[in-house]
Amino acid sequence: MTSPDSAVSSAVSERTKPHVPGELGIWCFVAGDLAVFTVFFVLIALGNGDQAQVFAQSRASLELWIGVLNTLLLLSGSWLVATAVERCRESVQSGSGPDTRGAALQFALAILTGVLFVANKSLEWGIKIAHGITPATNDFFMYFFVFTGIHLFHVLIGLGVLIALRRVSRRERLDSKALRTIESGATFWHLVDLLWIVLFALFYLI
Amino acid sequence: MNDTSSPSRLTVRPATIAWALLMIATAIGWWFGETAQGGSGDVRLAIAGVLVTAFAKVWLVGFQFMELRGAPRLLRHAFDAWVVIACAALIIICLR
Amino acid sequence: MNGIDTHSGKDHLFYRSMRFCGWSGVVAVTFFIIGGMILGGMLPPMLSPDEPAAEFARRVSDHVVAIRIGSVFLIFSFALFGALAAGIAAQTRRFEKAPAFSYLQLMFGASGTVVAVLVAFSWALMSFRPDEYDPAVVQMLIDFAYFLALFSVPVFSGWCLVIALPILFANEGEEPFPRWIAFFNLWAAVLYAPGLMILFFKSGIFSWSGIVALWIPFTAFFLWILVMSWGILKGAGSARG
Repeated sequence: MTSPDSAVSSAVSERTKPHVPGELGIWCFVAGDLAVFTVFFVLIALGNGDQAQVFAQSRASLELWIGVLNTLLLLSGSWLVATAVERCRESVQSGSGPDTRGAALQFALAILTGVLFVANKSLEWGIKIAHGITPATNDFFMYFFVFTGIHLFHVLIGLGVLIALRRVSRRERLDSKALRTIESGATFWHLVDLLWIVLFALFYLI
Repeated sequence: MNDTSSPSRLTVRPATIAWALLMIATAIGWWFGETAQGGSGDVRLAIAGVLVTAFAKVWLVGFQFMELRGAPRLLRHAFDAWVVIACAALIIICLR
Repeated sequence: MNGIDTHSGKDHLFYRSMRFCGWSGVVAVTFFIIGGMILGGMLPPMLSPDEPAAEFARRVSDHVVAIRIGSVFLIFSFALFGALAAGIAAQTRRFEKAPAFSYLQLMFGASGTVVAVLVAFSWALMSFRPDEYDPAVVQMLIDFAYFLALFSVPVFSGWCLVIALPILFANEGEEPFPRWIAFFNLWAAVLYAPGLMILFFKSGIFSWSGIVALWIPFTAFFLWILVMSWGILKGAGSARG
């Protein structure tokens, strides 16, 4: 259909022209979710100020390595998804599907990082509950369980999204509508990563 | 911009550089966290360091992974503004 | 003759009904602000779930007239959800070959309306004879009202979901509502979820007087009504041609 030269030049002009990743709607969701999580962040920080002693002691009893490992898992998952999206886009722009199998593999690996995150989180909660620490223990653990629980809910939705993206990326030919779906879904997965970065800092590090 | 015009795997993709930076930033954030909790050194500075590192990571995830680098200016700057305001607000609350 | 202009194919009756449905959402929000926020003491909550029953009875009997008038506004506000639900389903139905999602929307919308109307009943009932009821009964009626409004997560989240899906599944140019409304609905569906936590907490931000379990779902819900009203009015405008 298009010669390789024109495909490259159209790819270059695509690049210089501003482009909303995915579609505007997903950014409506992102903005809404960021607004709500900003409220959560402020609540955690306020609790930290009001009950400094309780928060510091409870924080010291968290397994830091689990939080660090979860951060590394989500960051790597995001990286896999971002490169998978780039491959899909290259495949659409070149008109042939050279690399979508690689993209599907990367989506599968990203799903694996998400599953490991969930397993790791379950392990962390299991250890805490086995030690008799529950949301009722104090305000720190109430915030910790509920807010990381809401985030975990996002991770589970994100895993469903990634499974759908993997399926889309395995189609014979990717069109611009499929690419829009892939970009929108990937944006949601990155949002999950982004929210965890701040939650990790507020719960484990401060 | 040789990254997108050629799908060659020999060039390092910007996403991969971003991933490496995020890994390094996680280590830096961890170190700030140890200082903030350990009590040795300036705790307040370490708390600010944790938050600045975290929001630098957030910004990088948005800019590179969420592809805001190529987004319309309004969307991009709205995100930048949120990062700055949220980070500043949390630092003020945590250090008050 | 029946409101259908056979020459131009424009359906004026449909246009008028949709305008009624759209505006009823706006009226519902207005009446809630008058009945629930200014007069009724529902939002911001006049009490917190960890206060003693006697305090509930005392506070209600102190504001009994305002709560009664507020309850009248509330029941009109909540009953209008039915018209909103019908408008959303009618707009979705126009783009379906055979009705599926529009039926689902009507089911969820009707359940949601019943749940919401019971909130107003409960609010009215506690102000009926707050001094003669046992204080624990007054307390329970307030608990009941907040549980109806906040613990009913699957009803309202499910409603949002079945509004979002037909938009996302539609082919280009055949969406019943603009695509961003689908994502807005998904966002709202997620935000109602913290309402489930009111069962587990009697104080703090996750109780029925807290910011996460009360303010966030309520704000999202009334914002959602306004967005959907706008969507219906816009859909009506496109039906007029």
